[in-house]
Amino acid sequence: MKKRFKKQSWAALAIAVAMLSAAGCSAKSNTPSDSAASEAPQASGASGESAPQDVTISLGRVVGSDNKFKNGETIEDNVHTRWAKEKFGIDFKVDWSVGTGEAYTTKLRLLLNSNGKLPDVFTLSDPTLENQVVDSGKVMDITEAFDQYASPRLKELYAQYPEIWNTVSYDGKHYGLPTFNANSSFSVLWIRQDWLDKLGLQAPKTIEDMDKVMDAFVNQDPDGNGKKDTIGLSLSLKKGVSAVKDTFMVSSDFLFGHTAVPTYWTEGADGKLQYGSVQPSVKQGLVKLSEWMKKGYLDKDAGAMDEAKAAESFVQGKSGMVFGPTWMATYPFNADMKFDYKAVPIPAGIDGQMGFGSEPQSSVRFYFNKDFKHMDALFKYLDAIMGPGFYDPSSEFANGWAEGYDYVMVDGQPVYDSDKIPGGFVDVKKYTIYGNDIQTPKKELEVMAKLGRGEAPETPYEKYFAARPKKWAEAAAVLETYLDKAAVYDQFTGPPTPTMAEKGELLRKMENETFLKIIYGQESPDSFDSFVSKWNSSGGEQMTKEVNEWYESVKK
Amino acid sequence: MYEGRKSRLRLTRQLPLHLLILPSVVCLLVFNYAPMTGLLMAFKDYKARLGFWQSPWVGMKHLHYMFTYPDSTQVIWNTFLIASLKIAANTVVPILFALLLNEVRALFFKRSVQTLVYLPHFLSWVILGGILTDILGNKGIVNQLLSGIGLDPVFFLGDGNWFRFTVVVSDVWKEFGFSTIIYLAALTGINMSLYEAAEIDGATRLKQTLHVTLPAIVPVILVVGTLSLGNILNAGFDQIFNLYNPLVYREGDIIDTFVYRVGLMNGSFSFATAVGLFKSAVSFVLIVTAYRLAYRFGNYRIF
Repeated sequence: MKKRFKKQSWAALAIAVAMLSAAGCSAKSNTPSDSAASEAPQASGASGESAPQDVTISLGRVVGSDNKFKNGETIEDNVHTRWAKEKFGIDFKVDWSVGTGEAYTTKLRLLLNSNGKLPDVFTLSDPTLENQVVDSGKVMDITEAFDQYASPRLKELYAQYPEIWNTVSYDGKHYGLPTFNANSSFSVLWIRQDWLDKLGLQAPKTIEDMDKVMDAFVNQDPDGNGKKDTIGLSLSLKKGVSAVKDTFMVSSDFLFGHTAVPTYWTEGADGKLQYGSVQPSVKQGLVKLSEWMKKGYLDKDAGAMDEAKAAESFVQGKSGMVFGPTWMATYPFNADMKFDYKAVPIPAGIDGQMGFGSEPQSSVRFYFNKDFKHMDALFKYLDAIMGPGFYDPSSEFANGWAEGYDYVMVDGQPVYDSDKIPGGFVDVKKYTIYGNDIQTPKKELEVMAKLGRGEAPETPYEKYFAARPKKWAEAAAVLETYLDKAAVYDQFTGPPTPTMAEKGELLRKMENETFLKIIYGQESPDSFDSFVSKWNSSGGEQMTKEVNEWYESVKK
Repeated sequence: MYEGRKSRLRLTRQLPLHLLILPSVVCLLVFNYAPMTGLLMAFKDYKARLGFWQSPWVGMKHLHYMFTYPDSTQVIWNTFLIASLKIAANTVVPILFALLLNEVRALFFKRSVQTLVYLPHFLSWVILGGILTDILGNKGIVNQLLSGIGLDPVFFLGDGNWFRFTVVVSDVWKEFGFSTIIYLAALTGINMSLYEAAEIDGATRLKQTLHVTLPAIVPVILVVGTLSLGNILNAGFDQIFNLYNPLVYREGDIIDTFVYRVGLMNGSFSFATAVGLFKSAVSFVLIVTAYRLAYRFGNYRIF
């Protein structure tokens, strides 16, 4: 008897263990690259001990499901790493790899907390964490290394935009290397040229022109269906009155002009940063929006619609104008829009100047382990992989990252069609230490604008972009004429201040609520003034003080 | 001596069963109980740099802050109101619908209606949010009907007075078909001879419903009602998040959306945890109370 029970117990235990381990397996199988990556070093290490200039750079890698390999390559040994080895003697050693960008940040956060070894080079895009990384004293001050080793074109670029360093500046020293955003898309006014022609109007240049044009678009039946079913301007207010930081298209910030952009911190006349949403010009802008809402120039549902929803009215031919980036030509616009629309310069805002909230100049920063010794090799490598970002025709990556991987030469021309590439398309830029193209400001815009002006594509980049919709290129040509004049940057690029962390949401909620109620006429415009004083007393004043303390500290 | 042997024998006999249940218990511990350790964060000042254990203890600071936060009362009240309305409506409507559907004799009609009304349950609020924005919009079908009968259009999603109504009705519309299933199942379990007896006594269909059908499904109503009380502070994040906007913050902002904005967007993890803990505590108390009441008055044990 007793024996039988024992047998049963063992069987049950075996089943239980099997079930548990099955659960364990399924969890593990998400990261197959882990084991591949950890085996690789022995394989490549044997061949790489010859040349004296050899350097090893340890990295953490993101190997996502969209990261393809062929010819038996791995993230540590592939066409790109072999190129880096051959050209600069660099061995990339993968300390660890994870599946997503989010997991990458988490891993770094854990390493930081547990006093683990940070990779030699890593990237971050979260100012709070970056602040902690620098605070921990584990990353290198690269001020001298940059002066010593950065290539001339890199130095020139960073000298042109000195404020880019702000996020990594502490006591005048630079603890990381910010990378630039492309800054080539924001923003233009898309307008129905056929409606303008039909009604004998010109594209608006001022807010008064906007009044006139929108009135005609709404009341003179531009689509000729006998119904009053058109609106003047598509607008999304679901996230409040905000610019590209919060509302990536179909926003309203051009209306507020250049003096103050809602939610942006900009330098005032006294050289101090001030919060855009509480400036007097914003009140005028809100009054204007409320007037437009009342007159039916805007969609009555704007407050309940997100970006994509709000853009629909323009796509469906029911709206005369929409404000947004040049790439709207590919999304949400499409080839089924069988009417004549085009991009025009934005009209001057309520303060008489052209202005709109721009994307940040930098979103991602490189950081370097303080024990890392090979900044010279790294900067050489960086300059080489930034060739495409500079749109340098002489870059060895002008056509693509590796022939036979992301392009193939057919009759002397690069072809990017996956079917033509033996073994299929593989995105080699993901093998670089940045995992993407490192952009430089406005270079993409220059290339697109050139195409938009109808000039023949010459460089490989121009030929590559020529495949993009023509309207996109034309919009770029329009944007190029006023981008520098009109772009407003959020100049607070540091980690959230203590008051911001504590009260930021409360203040933002108050702001959005007041602004939308003013626009919808549920509250009088004068409630703006009580909002401003309440904003100041509920933490806004303290926040402004802290923001300016930060600003002082980075200007040193 | 004898007692001890008996219990030991019982244990040996049941050991295989205990082992079989082990994986579930381990999973439960790992995935349901272990994460509760995170609740400690509500009493710490969590700093990502210091990590979970090293972050300093701050006691009740976050809970205190929650109750002094200017918007808290409003947000808690909104949550409570919307959730209560939802619980009430989501109990009454499915019961009524099940009773009505139960009277339908045409089987094909009954089945197709049943299938049709529970379909919305499988749509996510992200999709429904878009659909509702269209349907309830200024030029949407509802407002066209309203203007057809001479009423002014209503901004359902942007007018504070209408927003809660919209939220509750759309939630009922989405869920009532699915909740009906459970009552229909209960209805089929009623002994037919009760109806026959009632009929012989001269009861009408209405009387039969009141005195036979309803009492028979009271236990099920109690179970469903008690379990749903746990949701008294769950007003439905998915739904509100996809439908609300700054115009209706005052009437539509609920604890979950508030925690999302403060905790995740603004990075105050400890504060968000404190709010979550408060929510769970309230739900727990309510469930236990409701269970006790159901036992005392309905003489019904759920657990």
